[in-house]
Amino acid sequence: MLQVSTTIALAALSIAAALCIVRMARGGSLPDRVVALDSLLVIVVIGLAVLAARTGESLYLDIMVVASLLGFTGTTLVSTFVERRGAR
Amino acid sequence: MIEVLASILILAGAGLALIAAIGLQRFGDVFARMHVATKPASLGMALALTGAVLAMAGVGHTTKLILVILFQYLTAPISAHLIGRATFRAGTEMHPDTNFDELASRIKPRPRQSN
Amino acid sequence: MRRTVTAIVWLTAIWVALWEDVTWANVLSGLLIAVLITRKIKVVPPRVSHGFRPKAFLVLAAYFIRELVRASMIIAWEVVTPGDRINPAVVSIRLRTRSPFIATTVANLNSLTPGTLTLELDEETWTLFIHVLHLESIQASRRAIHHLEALVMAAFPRRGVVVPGAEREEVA
Repeated sequence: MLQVSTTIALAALSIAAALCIVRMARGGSLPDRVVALDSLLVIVVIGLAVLAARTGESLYLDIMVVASLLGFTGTTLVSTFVERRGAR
Repeated sequence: MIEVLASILILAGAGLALIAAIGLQRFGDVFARMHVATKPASLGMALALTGAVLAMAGVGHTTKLILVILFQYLTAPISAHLIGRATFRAGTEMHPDTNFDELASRIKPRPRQSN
Repeated sequence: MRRTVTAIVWLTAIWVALWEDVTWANVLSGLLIAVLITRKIKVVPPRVSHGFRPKAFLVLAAYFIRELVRASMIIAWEVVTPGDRINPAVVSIRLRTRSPFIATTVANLNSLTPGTLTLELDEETWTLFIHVLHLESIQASRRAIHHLEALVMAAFPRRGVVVPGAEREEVA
């Protein structure tokens, strides 16, 4: 049961991650890329939690904590940069 | 039984994340994308991680997952506000039909000349 | 001082929780790091102190979670159905509170609810600028924010002031 549902979930998350990367590449403006990167990190965190639930491996949870901490730091830095330099 | 509930939560979370990513592609301006991308994804994260809590026994695992959910809900509005304010002040192009009320149109920044 | 001690206890608790194990080494290293962090980063004490009413807080939490789920569904539906019905707007709202804590909480909760996004908070006039994805009417958006603000003010009353509405007065 859990095997089937996590497989489907991981497939959906892979598509979602790919779509985020497409948006990051196409951009439009810098904020677009930041928003896409932010969502990508949320998707990575969800993916790691799903992997942990699937395998019972607690190492994934440690990686998940670090990823979620780094995501916020990155967003904060880039938005300070956007505010100072302007969105392009 | 718990496994069924965990599966449903994980699937719902992944589904919301996918919807958020599709929204990133579908919407026209940065602000609409912010609405669509960040918030359903946060809810999706809360659902999927709750699913993982149910699937994995252990106090240590549970505290870690709950810490990440709390951290996400603590920081998501801050980063959304930071990007939103920076984008707004930088005068990024908005959806052409955007409505402004009296006060907002007074502070509405001029779009920057692209060079 | 009390604030610093609370912060140290919290930081140590989180540190131990992340190690998933309560040992002397974990607790001591956590304490050391917590003390270092609180020495390096000074927390500015709030200008207005607030109490906490559990019952009103539950009302706020229930309202917020309901809004969160409802609005997420609306946005998800918007994404999966073809065409777009978005009607974006930037709306300004005069806040009634004069407490930085309440204003921050309202701004953050508003950002968390899908469909609305806080853009700016003008500190001089206490005006909140929000971006709305599906504008019904400017009045409806303002009413929603004022309702949220009233719930937050009820959950976190100004300490020592029991009269409702006392938060409206100016704080020097």
